[in-house]
Amino acid sequence: MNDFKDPTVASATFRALEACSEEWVKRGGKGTSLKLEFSDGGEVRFSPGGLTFADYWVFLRALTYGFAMPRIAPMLARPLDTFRVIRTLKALAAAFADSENAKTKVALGLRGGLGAAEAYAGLDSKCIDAIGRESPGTVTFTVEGEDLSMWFRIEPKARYSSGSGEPPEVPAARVSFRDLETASRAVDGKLDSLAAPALGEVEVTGRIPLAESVGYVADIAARNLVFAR
Amino acid sequence: MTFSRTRSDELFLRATKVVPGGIYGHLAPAGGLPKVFPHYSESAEGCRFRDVDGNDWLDFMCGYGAILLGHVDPEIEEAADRQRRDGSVLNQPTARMVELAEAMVSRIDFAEWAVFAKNGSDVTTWAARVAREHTGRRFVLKAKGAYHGVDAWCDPGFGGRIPEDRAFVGEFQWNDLDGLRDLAKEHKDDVAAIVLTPYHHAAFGPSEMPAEGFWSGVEELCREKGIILVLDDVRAGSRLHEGGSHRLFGFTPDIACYSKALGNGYAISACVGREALRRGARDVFLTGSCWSDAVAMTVAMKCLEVARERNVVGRLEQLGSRLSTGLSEAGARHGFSFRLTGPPAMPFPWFDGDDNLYLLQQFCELCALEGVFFHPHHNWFLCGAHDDATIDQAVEVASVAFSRLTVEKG
Repeated sequence: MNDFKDPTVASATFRALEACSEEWVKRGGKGTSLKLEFSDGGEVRFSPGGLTFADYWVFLRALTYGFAMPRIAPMLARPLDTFRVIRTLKALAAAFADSENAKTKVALGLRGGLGAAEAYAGLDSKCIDAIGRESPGTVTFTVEGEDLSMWFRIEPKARYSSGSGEPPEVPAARVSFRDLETASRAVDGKLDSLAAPALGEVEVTGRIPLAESVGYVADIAARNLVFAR
Repeated sequence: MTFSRTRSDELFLRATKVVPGGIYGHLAPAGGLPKVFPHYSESAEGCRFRDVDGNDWLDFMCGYGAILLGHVDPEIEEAADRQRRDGSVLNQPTARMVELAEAMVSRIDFAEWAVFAKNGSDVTTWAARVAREHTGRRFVLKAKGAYHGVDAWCDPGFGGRIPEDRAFVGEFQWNDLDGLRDLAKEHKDDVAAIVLTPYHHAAFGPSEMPAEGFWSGVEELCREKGIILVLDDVRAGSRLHEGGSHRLFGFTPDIACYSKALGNGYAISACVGREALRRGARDVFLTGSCWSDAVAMTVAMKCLEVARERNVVGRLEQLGSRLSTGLSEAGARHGFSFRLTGPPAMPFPWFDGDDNLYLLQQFCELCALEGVFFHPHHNWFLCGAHDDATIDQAVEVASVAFSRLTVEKG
């Protein structure tokens, strides 16, 4: 079982939420780009400020059940910021649940998954082993016929970044999903990555081992994210 | 050719229901060109195979190296049929086991004993254990990216391992003798074996031949430190030199592992070693349900004999050189710097400047659409059934492919 106090899970959860919210705002969604951090006392704090949970457990409860009691004082000190954060979180949850808007779900899911993968690539021993074999390079993730492009980059010295839109360099590998439905299954962890290329669901070109490593890490990260389960 | 893939796709879809991933390992479509390569084959003969949709292919993978003489070679099949009538796996080994061991010991200059299994992994892992038993040491050193099998100490996959599996495995860059010496120094008095292929034939990249002085340096280090030198000749064995690939590169291992070409498609692997390692070989348990298979052993003996009679090693060298020259010239005519890396008998194709393989994948896809099975991620294999005409046919197809290549992805 996962240890929720495990810094890998915490970092991945933070990074996934940050990436998701950034993508949400980029796509015109109402809300704000979130940043999360632990305070010295172990509180989970959202920036620009306001919403704060007493500890990681309470924060997880909020993510899992949609509500948990936040710290009152910071909320009262910055009510507007708190409102913006809560509105963003609610909007993200609604977007994931909205079966009518697969594109947004895929965009947020891919972005969040790759964000979480950044944390796993650097902190989880299995992921370090898998991705550590690869030399630097960028993998792009697109959906056939959609203006949707995400990327994950291995930088020198085992640093990792991810984003959407134009990749920071010519991609070393390209992963293209056949359609939104397929990409959506990938986001839900229901795509058989070994079989998918042969079934025509996914096309992978370029440095295939790089794409496989990133895919493996993203899959582990997604499976361990609390709100993804 | 008129390309059809209905049956292959149907079979694959069925497979996904009952086989994890549909097809796994190095045959998984995801590791090749899933849009154009067939998922399933039906039959083969010589240097050609037919897929389940009836498409005929000129084969440059030869069962990923398992086919040395050609698919369904008549002499081999006749020998197999004869033995099959007497049985394959009996309660005791047959005389074939002794005869094959004698044949290998007499053919491989340093070998004093031989044992048999079914796959390359069976013997590479066992050889490392023999080295540990013999030396009483723990570490095994290997080249980064080198493939030595499916076991946890060396497999290229992601899952199913714990950190302890590789706690006593060290890696260095191929040809980096100083790196190897440093690694040996770091694990002072605790290095049991250095396990290496005769040249570096990693997937997804150009093959690297040993640099001047590399093998003599490795050998010297092993002798000086009492480290067992294990040659993994599973992929290259029988294709570069009939006495073992070490003969081509001028060094002598302590143990060598063979499989692939040894049985021309019948499952068998072998491990041979020096006299000094006989006790270790005796003490490390080795067995398998079908490892005494008399059919495979009969075939292996016949294969050694026929390969020598037909001078297969020399022939593959000549055919591989013809292919290399033909493809390089065809590429150059269309403005591409294309070359075959590694030994001519089992080359890895490479476009200079195409480190991400986009051009190579496109090139192999275009060739596949014309029925030539060139793999973009694995070294190719020539076999004794290729001839000048089939090489020229492949070059002709490749020439058209070069003319159609686009560079926008590069």
